[in-house]
Amino acid sequence: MGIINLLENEYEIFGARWKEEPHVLFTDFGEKRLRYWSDEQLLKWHLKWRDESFKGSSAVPDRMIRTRDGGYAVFDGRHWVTLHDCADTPFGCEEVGKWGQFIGHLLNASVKQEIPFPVEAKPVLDFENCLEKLKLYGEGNFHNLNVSIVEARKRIQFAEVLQNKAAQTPMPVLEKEISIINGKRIFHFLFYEGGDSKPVRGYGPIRKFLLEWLLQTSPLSLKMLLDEIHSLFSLSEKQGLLLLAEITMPWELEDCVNLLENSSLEKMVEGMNRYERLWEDNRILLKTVTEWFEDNRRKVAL
Amino acid sequence: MSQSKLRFSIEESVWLKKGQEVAEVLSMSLDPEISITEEANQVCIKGALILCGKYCTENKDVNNQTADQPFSEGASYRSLTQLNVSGDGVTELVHRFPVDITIPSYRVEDSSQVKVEVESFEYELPNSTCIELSASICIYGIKDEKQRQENQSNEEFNPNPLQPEEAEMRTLQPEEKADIFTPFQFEARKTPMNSSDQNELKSSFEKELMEVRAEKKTAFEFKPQYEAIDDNSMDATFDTLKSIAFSNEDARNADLEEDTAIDFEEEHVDQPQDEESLQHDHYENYEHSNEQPDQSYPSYQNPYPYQSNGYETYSNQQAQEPEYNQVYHPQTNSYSGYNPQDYVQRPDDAHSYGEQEYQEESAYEDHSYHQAEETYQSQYAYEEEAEQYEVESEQYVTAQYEQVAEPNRDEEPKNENALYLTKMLSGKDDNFSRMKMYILQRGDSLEHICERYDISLNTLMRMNQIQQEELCEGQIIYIPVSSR
Repeated sequence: MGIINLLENEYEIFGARWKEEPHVLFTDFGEKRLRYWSDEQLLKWHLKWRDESFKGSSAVPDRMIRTRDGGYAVFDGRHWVTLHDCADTPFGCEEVGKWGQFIGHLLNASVKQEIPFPVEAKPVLDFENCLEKLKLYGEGNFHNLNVSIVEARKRIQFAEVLQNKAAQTPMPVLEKEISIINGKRIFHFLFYEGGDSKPVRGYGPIRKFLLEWLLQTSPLSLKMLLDEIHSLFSLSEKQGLLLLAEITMPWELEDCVNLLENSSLEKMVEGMNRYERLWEDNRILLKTVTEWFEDNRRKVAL
Repeated sequence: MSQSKLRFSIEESVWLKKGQEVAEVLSMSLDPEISITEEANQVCIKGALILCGKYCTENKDVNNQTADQPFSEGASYRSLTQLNVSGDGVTELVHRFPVDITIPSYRVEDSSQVKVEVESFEYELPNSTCIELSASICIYGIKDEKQRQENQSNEEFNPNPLQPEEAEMRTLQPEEKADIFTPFQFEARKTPMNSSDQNELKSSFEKELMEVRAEKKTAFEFKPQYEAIDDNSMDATFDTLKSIAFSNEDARNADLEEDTAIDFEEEHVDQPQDEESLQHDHYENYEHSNEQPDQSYPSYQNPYPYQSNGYETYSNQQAQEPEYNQVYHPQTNSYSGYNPQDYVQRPDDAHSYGEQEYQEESAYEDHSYHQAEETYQSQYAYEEEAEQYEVESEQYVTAQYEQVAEPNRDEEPKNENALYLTKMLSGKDDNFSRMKMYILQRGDSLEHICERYDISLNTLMRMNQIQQEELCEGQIIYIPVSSR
């Protein structure tokens, strides 16, 4: 029995045919996306965050469509297969409130993860290793890199202090990539298409999302987004410190070193240019988020 | 190469004495009279902006009234403004705004191409005794920072890569400074005087005498603007991060009596001891610096890590690991320097580190305060001048600095004590005899200025009566310069 027949039987859908085999189907109930899972535990983790972050939110993730028996997946003999709604229209960044709701609910769900999953250890920026590698390029006189090392060092120190302040605080476990382009529009809903990757611990995905948001919108919009998130998921306490620490940590330095490594001169220069842009973008992100935290602290103090 | 320009805006008020009121302005102009010279690594733009005007006075007896001043008063007062009254009642006004701007030569490609122009000039007469001026002055032929960096990339490594865009205005004489940057006011003296005295005065003192009176704190305001604005400053961000990272909000409601500095120290001592990180070493270093304030303070004035050059630090890092401590060391000290100002505005955390230091050193308080007080009075020539005027003529209030500084000294005696103690710990006498003016650029910080001019943060803040939070682009910072 083919996968289409299996799905028609289990999900009571009709007229199914491939739009993009083997991932997207046309059905009488609209387009549906298939996801294949070889690791049941990973499937359960993804099921959980989708269900949890859906609760009480007008921003909905692509939950697993339930079978006629109430199951969340079917087994085709090799994989667990889940069925999801599918949308094409990008949601955009105009409706800050809905994105804020989504991220807020997502963080709430990901902090109190009940599905144990062997998450990879939170990545650590090895500054000394970066410096060691950069020795090789000392003669390259990369001005921007030289300048940013000093600032990077300072940022690391701040990040470590912030992390230590929030020690013993449970970190969120999140999808590796949370992106604006995954946000789709279904009527007035924000429909977020999640992935199937292994989760990561920490605020890295949120940092990347906030940077993406900043680049597509403005610092003001980013602050509004943080306001919305904060209304659902308190950033004024230790979770906020962890987020700030993540953003303060100069991850881009490591990226840069990796770009320089074993590269031709042309690629090195290209990498440096890219690094410069990335560095500036992250600085603005840090500035904006720090300002938001400071404003928020003042509000609290008042 | 396209070059940017440095633009200042000047706002000034000229007050006229009774009898010199403006009935009708016939003409008013502002023209630069500037010479440009190149000295060592600096391009000096010196000269004056000449304000010339003609106006009809309301009172025809102006000569009689304004000449009533005793000669001694007139002689003691060095006016920069001249009023020449012609027979037909037209008064000619000439006032010089001395200009002394120094620009690093790397910012100037060709000094012969540097020129100063008055881009716009406007005046208003809110009333007949006041002329309000506003002008925009442009200095052309100055490279912006971006261009400079582009050039640098082709040259040897710059040992000071983060040097900001700057334009500094320096006054050669303190008393000149007081006059230049003080709003002025003209007043008539109404002391009765016989005609012979008047003739004597006329013959010896043809010019009308005027008085400069301080009106507001920053009347001569420069607002430098660059064509290409590039906000590279992370200082404010780091300050905020610092306040967040080292704040004690968790214990805010617990025990406010607990000393913040001690909290900070403990917090760091509590770091994982098995960490072989630099952070651990740094914290040890911090504790050490607390125990030996005499040694720690000089390093506070030394390179601020953010402004030091990355390559150098990086090289040092290669050479010896402990260098890392030295690099971070000033930061800890600067933190101690930050506290007094940070906590001034945070009553909950009023127990700042700076104040703790003050308490610990209370034995020296009286001595240091008086010593500093003496220094304060004896070393600022222009302030002496101001006091002298007060003796000679109680109605004369001339020095802006005097007017600004005095009330604050009374308002914040405790801070002053603490600051003087800090100064004493620095081991430096404030043997200053002149002031430089520094126009704050985007990206500047007080720490950076202190490092550059080798003065302490507290001295700078005290001299300018400012808090770190009060800084804004275009603000003028007075930098005391040692006579040594």
